[in-house]
Amino acid sequence: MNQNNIIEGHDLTYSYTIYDDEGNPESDQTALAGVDIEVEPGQFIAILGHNGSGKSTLARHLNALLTPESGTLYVDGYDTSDEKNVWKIRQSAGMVFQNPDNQIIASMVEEDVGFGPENMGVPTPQIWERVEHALRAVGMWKKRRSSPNRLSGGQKQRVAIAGVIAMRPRCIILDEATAMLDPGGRKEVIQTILDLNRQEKVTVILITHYMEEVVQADRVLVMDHGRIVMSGSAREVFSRVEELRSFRLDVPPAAMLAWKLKKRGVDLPDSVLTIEELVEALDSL
Amino acid sequence: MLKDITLGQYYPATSILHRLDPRVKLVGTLVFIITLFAFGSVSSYLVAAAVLVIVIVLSTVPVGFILRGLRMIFVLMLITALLNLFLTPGEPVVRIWKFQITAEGIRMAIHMAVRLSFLIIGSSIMTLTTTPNQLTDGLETGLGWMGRLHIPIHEIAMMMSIALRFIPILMEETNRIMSAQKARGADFDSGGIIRRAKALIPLLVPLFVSAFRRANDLAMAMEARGYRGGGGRTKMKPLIYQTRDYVSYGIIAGYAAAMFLTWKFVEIQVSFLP
Amino acid sequence: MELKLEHVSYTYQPSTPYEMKALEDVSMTIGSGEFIGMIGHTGSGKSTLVQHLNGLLMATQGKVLVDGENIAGKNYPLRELRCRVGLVFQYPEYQLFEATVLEDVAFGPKNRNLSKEEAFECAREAMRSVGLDESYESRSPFELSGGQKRRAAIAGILAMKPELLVLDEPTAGMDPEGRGEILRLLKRLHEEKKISIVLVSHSMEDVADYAGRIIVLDKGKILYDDEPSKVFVHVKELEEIGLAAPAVSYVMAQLRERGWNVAPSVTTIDGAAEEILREIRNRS
Repeated sequence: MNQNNIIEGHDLTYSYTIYDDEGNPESDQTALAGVDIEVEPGQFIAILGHNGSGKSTLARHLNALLTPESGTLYVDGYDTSDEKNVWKIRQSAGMVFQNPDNQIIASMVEEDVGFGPENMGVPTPQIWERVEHALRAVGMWKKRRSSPNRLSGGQKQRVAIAGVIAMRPRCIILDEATAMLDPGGRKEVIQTILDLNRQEKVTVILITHYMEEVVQADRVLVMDHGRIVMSGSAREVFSRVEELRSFRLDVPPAAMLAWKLKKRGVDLPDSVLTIEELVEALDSL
Repeated sequence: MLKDITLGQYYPATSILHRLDPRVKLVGTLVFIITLFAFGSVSSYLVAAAVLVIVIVLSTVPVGFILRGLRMIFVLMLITALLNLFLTPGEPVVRIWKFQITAEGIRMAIHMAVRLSFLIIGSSIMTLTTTPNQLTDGLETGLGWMGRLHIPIHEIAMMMSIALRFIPILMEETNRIMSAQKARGADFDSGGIIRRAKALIPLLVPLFVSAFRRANDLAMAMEARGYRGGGGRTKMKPLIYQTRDYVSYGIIAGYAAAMFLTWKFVEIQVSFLP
Repeated sequence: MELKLEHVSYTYQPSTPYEMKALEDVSMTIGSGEFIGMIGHTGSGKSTLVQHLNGLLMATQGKVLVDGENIAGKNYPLRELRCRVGLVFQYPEYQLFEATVLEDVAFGPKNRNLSKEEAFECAREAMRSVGLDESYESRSPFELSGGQKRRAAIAGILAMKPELLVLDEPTAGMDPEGRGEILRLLKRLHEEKKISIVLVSHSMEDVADYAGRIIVLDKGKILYDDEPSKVFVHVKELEEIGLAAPAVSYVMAQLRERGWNVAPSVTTIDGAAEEILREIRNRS
C-alpha cells in the first residue's frame, strides 16, 4: 500500500439486501463490484455516474458510514474496517450531502459550523477560531448569525462545507451536493470547493452528474454498475463521447458540439472541452 | 392564526433580561409559577403583578406584542374559568336551570384566571427574551445533574433544538404538499368531520414519509460530523455565570420570600367578593 | 382553452413585516397547443406564477381569465379548473401516498367524482403514457426508483386529463438519462395528445430544445416573451440577471465576434453544427 495516498482502496465490494413484504431478505443488489481507487493528497477528483451506478455507496465508504464487504480501504492511513478508526476517519474525510436542509443541525449558522469541533472535543476558544476561519473560507462570515432558513440553497451548502472545514479534514467528499441547487447555487458551491482545493490544499472528491462541474477536476472517474469504468483527465474522458453515452451520461455541450462537427469531417483536436476552446479551435482552422 | 401565538417566540433585543443566563430565567420562571400556586392570595397577587410590570419594562418588549400572544390562550382561560364557576361545590349564589354558581366557584374562577394569565405572561417573557438555543442550552446545563439519575438530558436537549430547527421547514413542507394535493383536486375545507379527517390522509402520509427521510438524512449527517452523543463534547458557547446572574438569583429568592410573607401575614379584604 | 393573465400582481403576507411582492403586473396569454418554457432564477416569481394558472393562488391585483371567464368569480368551479390545468410541483414524488401506484394515480380522477372503474381507467391510461406498464399497478409507489416515482407522480396529474400541463422543474435532481426521459415524455404528450405545456426550468438547454416560446421572469416581472432564438440572443442581459443562455448561444455569439457569419439565433447543438458546417463551406 502506498502510504502517501490519502485514499487507497482495493477490490471493494458492497451489496444492499432487498427485503420482501414480510421483511425477509429476498435478494442482494450489488452496489460496488470490485472498485480500486487511489487518491493523492491535494487532488480534485470527480466521480460521475448515473443514479444507481454505485457512486454514493462509494462516497459513504470513504467516510466510514459504510464498510466494505470485501477488499480493503484506507483513508488517511486508517483502515475503515477497523471500528476504532471510525472517528478519526470522519475527521479526516468530511462529507457534504445532497439535501441542504437535512444536514444543518443548529438554528444559527455559526453554531452549526461549531457542531463538528464540539463533537471532537475541541476547547472552546479554538472552536471559535475554527468557525471564523471556516466561515471566511466559504465566504459566509457575514451571515454567521443568520438562521439557516433564511439562506439560499447555495449558501446552505456553503455553510455545510464550512461545517466540514471546521473539523480540519484532509479531504472533503461532496455527495451530489449540487443536485438540488439552481445554476447560480451550483456555481457558488463549485467555486467554493475549487478555492478550498487550491488555497487550503484540501483533497476534494466531487460526486455529481453535472458534466460542466467536473471540467476543472484533476481526474474524472466514471462509475457504472458498481465499477469504475473510465478514468482519466476530463479531456480524455469527454473525448470518448460514445462510451460515455453507453453509461447513460452526457458530455458538456461544447464537447458534444465539437464531437458532432468532427464526425461530420471538421478537423478539430480531440481535446475540446469548453466553449472558449471550441471557438478558438474553429477560428484557427 | 398560528402566527398570533407569541408564546415561545423570540423577540430580538439587547435588554438586561435578554443578556441574563438562560438558567437564571428558567429558575426564575419556575419560582414565579410555584409561588403563584402555592401562595395564592389577593395580597400576594399584587406582589406578583408588580414584579411582572417591572420585568416587562426591563425586557423592552412592547406590551402589545406580549398581549397578542394571550389572545389564543384567552379561550383556554375562559373555559377553565367557566368550569370552575359551575363545577365548584359550595354555597349557591345563583341558580340557572340545572346549574348553580357558588361563592367558592366565583372565588376559584377568579383565582385561576389570575394565576393562568400571570403564568402565561411570565413564561412568555422568558421565551421572548431567550433564543430557543439558549433555552435548550440552559436546560441541558441546568439539568445536567439529572444525567446521574440516568435521565438522558443531553439527548432531550438535542432533540428539542433539532425540533426547533425543523418546525419551520416542516410547516413549509405541509403547505407545499397541501397545494400539490389540491392541484390533484383534493378538498381539505368542506364536508363533515369524518370526511375532513379522511381528506388529511393525502397530506399526512407524504408528510410522515418526508419527516422520516429527513430524520434519516440528518442522523447520517450528524454521524458524519463525528456526533456520538453527549460524552466528550465541548461547547462552543458554554454557559458561564456573570455577576448579574448571581444578583438575579438573589432577587428571585427575595421575591419568593416576599410572596410567602404577604400571603401569610397581609390580608386584603375585597368587599364585592363573597 | 385559452388562459389569460391581465396585470396580475401577487404579494405574500401583505401589510406585515414579512410582506413580499412576488409578481408585479404580469400579463400573458397561453393558447391551445403551445409548449412554453418559463425561465427565471430562484425567487424570480415563477413558482408563484404557475400557482395562479390553476387558482391555487389568487391574484392580489389583476385578473386571471380562462376562456374569458374570471377565475376569481364567486361561483367559478375552481376544482374543475384544477383538473383542466394540471400542475406538477417540484419533486412531485413527495406527494405520493397511496398503497399502490394505480390507486395513487387514480386519486385525481376520483376527486373528479368519477366511479372507481372510470378513475382506474384514466389512471391506467396515464400510467401507459408515462411508460409504466401493468406490472407497476399493484406495486407500492414508495419502492419505485427515483425516476419511476417521478413519472408516477406526473401520471397522477395526467390522469385528470388536463388540457394544459404545467410542470415546475420536473427534471430537478435527476441524472441525464432521467432528464431526457421526462423531456421526451413531455414532447410526446404535446405532439400526440395535443396537451399544452408550460415547462418551468432553470436549465436553458432543456427549454431551448423543446419549447416553441420562452418567457423569462425576473423579480416578478416578465422580461422576455418570445421564440427561443430571439430570447437567447440576449446573452449578456440573461447573464446579468443570473441566468445563462444555452452553451450553443455563447459559441455562436463568440464566433460572430470573430467575424464568422453564423446565425445568432441557433439554440440547439444540431442546429449549431449545421450552421458552423455551412459557414466553413462558405469560407473555403
